[in-house]
Amino acid sequence: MNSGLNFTEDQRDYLQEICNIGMGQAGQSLSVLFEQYVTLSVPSIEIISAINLVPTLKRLIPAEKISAVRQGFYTHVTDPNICGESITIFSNTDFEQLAQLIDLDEEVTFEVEQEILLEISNIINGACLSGIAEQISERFFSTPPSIIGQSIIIDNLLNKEHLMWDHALSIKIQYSVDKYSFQCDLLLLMPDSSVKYLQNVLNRLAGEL
Amino acid sequence: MTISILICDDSNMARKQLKRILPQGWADNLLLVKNGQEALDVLCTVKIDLLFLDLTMPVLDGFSVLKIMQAQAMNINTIVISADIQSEAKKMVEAAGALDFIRKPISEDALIQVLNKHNLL
Amino acid sequence: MINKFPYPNNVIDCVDSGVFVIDKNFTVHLWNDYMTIRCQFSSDDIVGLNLFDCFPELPQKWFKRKIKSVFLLNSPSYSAWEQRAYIFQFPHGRSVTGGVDFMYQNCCFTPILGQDNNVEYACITIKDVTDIAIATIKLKNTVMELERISSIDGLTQVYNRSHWEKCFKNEVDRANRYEHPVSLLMFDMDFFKKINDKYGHLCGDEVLRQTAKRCTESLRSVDVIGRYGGEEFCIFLPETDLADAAHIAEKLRHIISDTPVYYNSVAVSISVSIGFTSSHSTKNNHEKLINEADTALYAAKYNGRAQCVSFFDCDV
Repeated sequence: MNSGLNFTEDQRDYLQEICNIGMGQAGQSLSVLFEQYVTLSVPSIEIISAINLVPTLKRLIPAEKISAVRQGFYTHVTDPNICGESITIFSNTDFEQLAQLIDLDEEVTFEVEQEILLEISNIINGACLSGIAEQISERFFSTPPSIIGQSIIIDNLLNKEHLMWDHALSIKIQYSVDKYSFQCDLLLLMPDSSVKYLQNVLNRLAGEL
Repeated sequence: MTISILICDDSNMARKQLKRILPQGWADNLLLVKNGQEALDVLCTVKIDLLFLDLTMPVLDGFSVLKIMQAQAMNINTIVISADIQSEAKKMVEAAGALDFIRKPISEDALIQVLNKHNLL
Repeated sequence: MINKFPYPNNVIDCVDSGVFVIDKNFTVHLWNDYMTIRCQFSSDDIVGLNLFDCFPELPQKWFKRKIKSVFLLNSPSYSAWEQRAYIFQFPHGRSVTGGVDFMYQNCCFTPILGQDNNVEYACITIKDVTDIAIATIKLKNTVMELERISSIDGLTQVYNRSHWEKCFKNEVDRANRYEHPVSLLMFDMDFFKKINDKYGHLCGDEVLRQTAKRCTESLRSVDVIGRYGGEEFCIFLPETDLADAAHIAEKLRHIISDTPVYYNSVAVSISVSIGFTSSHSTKNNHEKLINEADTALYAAKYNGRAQCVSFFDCDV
């Protein structure tokens, strides 16, 4: 399947729980912003390969039209223990409803739609990563968020030619607010080197239990 | 009096963590299950004095377990332990019959505090 | 062994970006020189005052929402020029305006923790990105212009054949998908060669230009016209059935031919023959429809020109 990026059951379980906690924090942050309850899902973890990228993404996010925002994260710029890209994907977004959700009183123009996407992504990303970071005794820095695309098909999400990895760890975390048909997935993508470091951290944590 | 505790969480790590910080010698009987359905199965056959319940689980989640227990008037003392720390979540579980709510990652102090608060020790 | 740097407070005045600090109540606690130079408030003036009292034009609700996430979530927040050109109306200080009134800004809102590890202040940085913004906007406009040019017929300024056909194919696909009708008109200038021979090619060009202009002025905004050949034009009419197409064709024929085209004070009479068809199943093919309109056009010519003929009236 994929060289050296296999997770033991323990590692996978611990990683899932760490993400669960990180995700809970992000859910809390979103609910503060929305003043609504945010439904969280069980995080799903898998190793994806660059070759199978598009079919994998289609399976993970079955929506027809998506909007996506990316932010890079790293523990250190030139010599990071862990670095990666977080992609927040909004499925079949109803921007009028989303504007209501964050209590916007401006007219919803194209630029305002973008601002909403960027803001929500930034909050989810920041909260989730800081939740995860706390548990693995690291600190993450993020780049400002930028829009990958608005109302595009998932095939066009990542440019295959420009990927810096052959395999990546993908952690998918879903947030939804039923009343406002808001659904959003956070994909944390980490390349091989980061995954190996992460595996060592997970082993250490498992050993302490 | 034997104290029987049931821990329900889909994460092995979470189950182990909680098991490790339970007061020494307090529980005579400790059972571990990994989703809500398994928890209900155990509750129907074994007398459980205290249930530690996670919320986000596959197959049957914590909210559903609480609702089913409430509907069937099972009256099991339940403490929810969850990463979902929204205040709304806390309200919902208490309305569904849970005794209390402890946020993850769980600390020994938080656990003792809650156990004392409800005179469970 | 170097002594500790003695003037750390002066450093923020050396930074080539606006830097200021506010608390939960939007009271200003720090204000660097960059900000001072660009507005009427110096540090001494503004520290201790409410930010919104001093800058009433700031987008208050938006600003408060940004700051809320910084204080409540201990998390940085951002604003980019692409979504919001500026927060503060500062002059951009460029000698050539590039059509821009104020400085374009990228902003960063960062939490500052107090003694008790709670967020006590928010630090806001304002970065001038006017040059990047102007260049990016210019680039986008140039690309759009290039796209526009490559799809337009230079003489008549309507779509060229390849672009029009692409549009028509898309419309037929769409009509098939939603089971809506679409109609097609194809028309040809009558005796065009005679006009060129008698009045010269430049006159012929003007006739084509005027014909196209008369069409675009009277068609609906959803109708799409293209120059299909030398003296041939095609128009597709979305959501239009055969009966309406017949009306539009006849109306158009009159608009084009009722008044002459004036070239060098000479009145040149013109007329057109029009063939038209309409979609008639759920699996229309754009090429087939074009052939049908062409057949109808041929019939119009054959029957004496200066008329409209429907494909369904043709003996095929």
